[in-house]
Amino acid sequence: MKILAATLAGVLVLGSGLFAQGGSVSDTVEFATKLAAHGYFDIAESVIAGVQATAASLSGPDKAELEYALGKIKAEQGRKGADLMLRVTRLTEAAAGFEEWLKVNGDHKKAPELRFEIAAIYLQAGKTAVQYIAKEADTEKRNKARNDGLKSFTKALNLTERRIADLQAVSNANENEKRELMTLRFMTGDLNFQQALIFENRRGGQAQQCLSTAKETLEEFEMDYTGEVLNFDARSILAEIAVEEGRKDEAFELISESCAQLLDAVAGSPEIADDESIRDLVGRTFLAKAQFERTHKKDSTAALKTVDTIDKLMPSLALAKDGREALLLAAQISNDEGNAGYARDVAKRVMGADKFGPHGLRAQELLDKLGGGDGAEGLQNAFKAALLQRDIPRSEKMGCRLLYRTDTTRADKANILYLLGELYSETGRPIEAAVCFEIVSSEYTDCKEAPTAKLAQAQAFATAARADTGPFWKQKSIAARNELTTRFPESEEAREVAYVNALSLETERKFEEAVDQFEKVPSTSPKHGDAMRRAGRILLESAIEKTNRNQAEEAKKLFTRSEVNLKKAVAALTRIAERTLNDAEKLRLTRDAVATQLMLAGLQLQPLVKKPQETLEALLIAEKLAGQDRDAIRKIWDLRIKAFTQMNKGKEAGALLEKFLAEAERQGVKGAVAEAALSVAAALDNEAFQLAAGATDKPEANELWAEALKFYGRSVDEARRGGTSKREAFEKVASRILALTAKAAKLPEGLPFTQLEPEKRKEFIDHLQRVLHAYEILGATEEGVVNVERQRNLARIAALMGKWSDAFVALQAITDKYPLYVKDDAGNEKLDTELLKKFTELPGIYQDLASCGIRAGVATKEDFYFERSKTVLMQLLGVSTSGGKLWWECRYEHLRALYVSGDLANFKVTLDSLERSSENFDDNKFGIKDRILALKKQAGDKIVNK
Amino acid sequence: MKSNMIRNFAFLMVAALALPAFAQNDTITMKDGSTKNGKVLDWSFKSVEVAVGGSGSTRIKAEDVASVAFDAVPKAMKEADAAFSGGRDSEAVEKYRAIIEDKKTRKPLLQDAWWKCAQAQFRSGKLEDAAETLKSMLNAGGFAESRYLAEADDLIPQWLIWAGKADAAAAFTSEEEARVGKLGVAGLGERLKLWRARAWFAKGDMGKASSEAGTLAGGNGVVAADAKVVLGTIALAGNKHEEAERLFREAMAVTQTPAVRGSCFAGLGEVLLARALKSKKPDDFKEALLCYLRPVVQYSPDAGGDNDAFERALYGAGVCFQSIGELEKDAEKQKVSMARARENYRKLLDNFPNSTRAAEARERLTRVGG
Repeated sequence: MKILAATLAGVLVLGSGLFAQGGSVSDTVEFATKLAAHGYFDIAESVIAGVQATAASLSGPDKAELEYALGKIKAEQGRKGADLMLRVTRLTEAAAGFEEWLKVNGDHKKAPELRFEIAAIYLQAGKTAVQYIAKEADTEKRNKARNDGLKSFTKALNLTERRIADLQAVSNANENEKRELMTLRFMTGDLNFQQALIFENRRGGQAQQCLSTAKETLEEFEMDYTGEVLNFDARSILAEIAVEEGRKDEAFELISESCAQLLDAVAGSPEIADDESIRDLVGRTFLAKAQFERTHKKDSTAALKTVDTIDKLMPSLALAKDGREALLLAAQISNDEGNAGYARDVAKRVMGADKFGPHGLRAQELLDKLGGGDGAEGLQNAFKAALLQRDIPRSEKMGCRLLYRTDTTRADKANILYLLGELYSETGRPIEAAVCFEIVSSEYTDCKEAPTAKLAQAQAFATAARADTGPFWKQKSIAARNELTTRFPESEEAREVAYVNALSLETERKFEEAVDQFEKVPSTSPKHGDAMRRAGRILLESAIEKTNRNQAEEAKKLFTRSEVNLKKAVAALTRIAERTLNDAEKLRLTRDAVATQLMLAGLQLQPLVKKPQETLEALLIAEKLAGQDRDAIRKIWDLRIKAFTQMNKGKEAGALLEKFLAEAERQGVKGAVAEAALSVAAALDNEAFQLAAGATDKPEANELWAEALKFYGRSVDEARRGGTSKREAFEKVASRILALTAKAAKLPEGLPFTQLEPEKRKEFIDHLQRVLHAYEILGATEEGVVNVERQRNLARIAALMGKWSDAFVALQAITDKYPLYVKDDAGNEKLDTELLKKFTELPGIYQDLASCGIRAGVATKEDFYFERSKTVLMQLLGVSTSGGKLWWECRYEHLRALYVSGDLANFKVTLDSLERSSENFDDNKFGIKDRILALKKQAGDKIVNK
Repeated sequence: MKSNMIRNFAFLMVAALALPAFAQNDTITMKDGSTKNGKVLDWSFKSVEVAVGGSGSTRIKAEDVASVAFDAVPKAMKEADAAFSGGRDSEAVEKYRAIIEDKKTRKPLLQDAWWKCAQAQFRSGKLEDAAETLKSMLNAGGFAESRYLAEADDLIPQWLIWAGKADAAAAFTSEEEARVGKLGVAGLGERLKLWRARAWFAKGDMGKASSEAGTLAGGNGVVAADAKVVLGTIALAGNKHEEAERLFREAMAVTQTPAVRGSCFAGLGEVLLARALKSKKPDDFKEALLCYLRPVVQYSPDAGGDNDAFERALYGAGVCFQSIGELEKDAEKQKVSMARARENYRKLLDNFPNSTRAAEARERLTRVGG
């Protein structure tokens, strides 16, 4: 069978949620068939339907196989279930589905057997309709069922006859075909007989016609298949037809003949009784004879003799269902005839063969009647049998008989009442159940069922409360739970009840009530640790939520309560883990204890709690518990570093990190190292900032910043090596590395675009590369999106490395995205004032672009850079306030651009014009005057010559 | 060349003539349905040695032999077999031990006594003893090339791991790998490596388990599929769900072995359930459920087989049904889901009360109404 294409798997995700399944069609069919066999019919159908949804990708044979399987599943479902008419519907649907299938797949290898199968399904549907009619009182419903049944029989007959004709036409039929023909011929007789039974008036024309055809067909069958097992069944039906037609003697003769043949067969070869189907056949046939003798011939003695004869010859008769029925009949007759001893013996044998089954129960009842059913064991078996059959009256009867016995112990009585309570619960009678449970929990307090019964009573009341929404049953349920904790405080159930209550409240998201219940779980309960852990967690989450909403006071209270619970949880979990002998359980409890301890440590680091010293102590305990649990160890180190950070002990955190890194290296742990390094770097950075207190060059602060730079770099290296869960943090990391590199290189602050000396480039190249690596970790920005900060940093790095054209390109990405001038509706360019209001840094970026452009022009000798820079600077003059800092800087840069690009004529004109309008330039208010004069001096002779 | 052919032909003639003299002995049924008679002297994984003439013997390839019915089986062996097939395992062990001690026991029957003794010990829960018996059969017992070699090399480490003796299992696989390497048995070395990986995994040494299984995971063979299952399970234990999912799928693509597929589906179920528990979407739970139901209904383990995947799947199916029920708004459908959850939890608790999932199943069962 072909493997479904990979593309199919993708479609399946959408179609049926089957993407996890994949596999071949035959595999899917096998899976679905097994699901149906386990009673998961709906899931089986959805599995098939899911694959069918991809019909376009399926080949013809695959489609056929899937449809065939679906039909089989429906037919299987139709054979099961208590609702007879639903079964008829399902069977008919399955058969109709198969008929459709045959129309398309008439040549399929399964087609021949399927024709037989369809007929059998229709026959089953018809028989089920007959059963329904026999039980249904409503005439209208009966008529509908009759119509449905008749349709099924007609279809089955048509199919059977067609297949018989086909098979009879085969000249050299093989064994399988011969057997199929035999079965079909029997089925035709059976079908006609069953069809007759569907009519209430068996004397009517249609019923008579069916009976006549059935008789004719089965008589022919009997002649043609002498010695076949099916022949006995044919004869049984013929006997039933004879009874229907009033030919009772003939019927009896037929049954007697079958019995005689079977008797001979068993006497000749006793081992044939080992075969279950033969045993059933014998039981069925002899039961029919005995019943006939008793009912029609009114000869109970003969009936008794019939059963006794075969019973003596075939001791395994009691193993067959109808055999047991025959034996019970014999026992009944025997008792009626005054032979109670024989009846008792037979009844006891039936009880032995069907201990907890319906026949065993009836045998016990018979024994009760006979006066030999007082044995405790028999009664107990019968009680169990009645319970198993959910037979309330008989369970009550047997249960009460046991309760009134003097030799029934208290423990047994408690058990009986408890089982009756369970029966009532399961059969939808919660109030009766609650009464039973009440008796057990109040009258039999010394018995093991007592606390369980109290808990079950609470559940029964809760069930009653669901059906009757008034408060009465709900209150009874709550009262029962409370009684459980007061009456049986040491019981497992009492310990469980608060815990169970809490879990359901948690599921309902009633967190406050859940916490109250969790806190009620006594410290002696094995669930105590878990309860405290859950309560602690809920409170912690709630406290964090309050913190985020700026409800500090409430948050603090919750933190305190959570801390208490978490501490209790750790103690309890550790204690229980130490005591448990189950290794798996021990491991689970220890892991829970470590996780709780870490939760506690995290809580103590919350800004509103701030107990870093206690965190460190908590982490020591966690480390001890964690053993070799690497995940936990990683978290412990992370929290420890955070604790030091909170204590402003960046250096200690750094030292710890070094230790952690060495340990991580040794164990091959990756992933969390980057975050740990990042925490340390941030701590050092922060500490340095506080130490510097605004001073630009404080040696102690510089020392810490140098360390911070080292750890920021390390975080980048580790994240590249082992991954990180905090990718987004690396945007800031990149900026900080760049800023701290500038600081380490002693570049003047406020002068972002400058070039490092070649020697310094070598010294700081690694740091600059790490900035680029940090951006690699972050990944490229989405198309059309410009990350301004990143572009500026990239430009700065390029500038530091003396690559001015790269710097220009990086900045140009920003200016292209955010042009200063936009076209209005009339097509005229105008300053985008809205943008400038929102993006106040934009003029500065344009200025940087121009500055880089001038340097790039000098480096590459390409006019493009000068021209673009000059244009930008002229635009900026329009943006800036005349006489302001930006304005003067732009004037100077523009002059410089003209000068270095060699446009000396324009340089001279512009300079002259500027001198005329502002003789003293900015008066060095922004340091421009000196710079212009220096430029003028530099130009000197060149301008004169011009 | 010609002289060789004549010699071979002559040998066969002698063998054919000699056989009737031993006709009262064992019946060897070949895989093609034919039978041969003769006294079986030994039965190794390579061949069945049959006596011919006075002191000679001939060998039939073991792969051609379907079964051997031994003639004149001693009464002690018959009694031991009766105890074994009647499920009286302690008695069977004693009787087989007596046969093993009896120096007169014929070699092929002696081999069967070792084998069945180990099986009886296993059935009575004495896993370590059972493994020791098989080891003795291969070493001191004189059956270094036993016909049960492949099965024994699978069962010994498996039983030791189940008995909590992962170290011993790993040690056995190393020694045995060296030993079978000299015998030149194809594929056994790889299987032993695989068992070593499982042993390391059972011990919690994921590094070693991963490295051992990693060497076998290439290719499309059954061992590669098994190795991928081990690697997938390691990834799952390390919460590397995507990697685990990839490995389980790769393993399933190359194997039809029910046990391996069962493990893969149970693993996939766990990956998908974790995803569903995060998303809390009914469809995600349904996907996980379909995976779990595979081991439950389609790949349930054979008697004596590894139940781990089955147990995990029963529990997982219960969790999925429960979650689907909790998210279901239709009361009738919710009822069905909860009943199915209970059914799976109960099945787990009834059949595997000592399962690692039993405590959680019990807790969940209480929550879904007992």
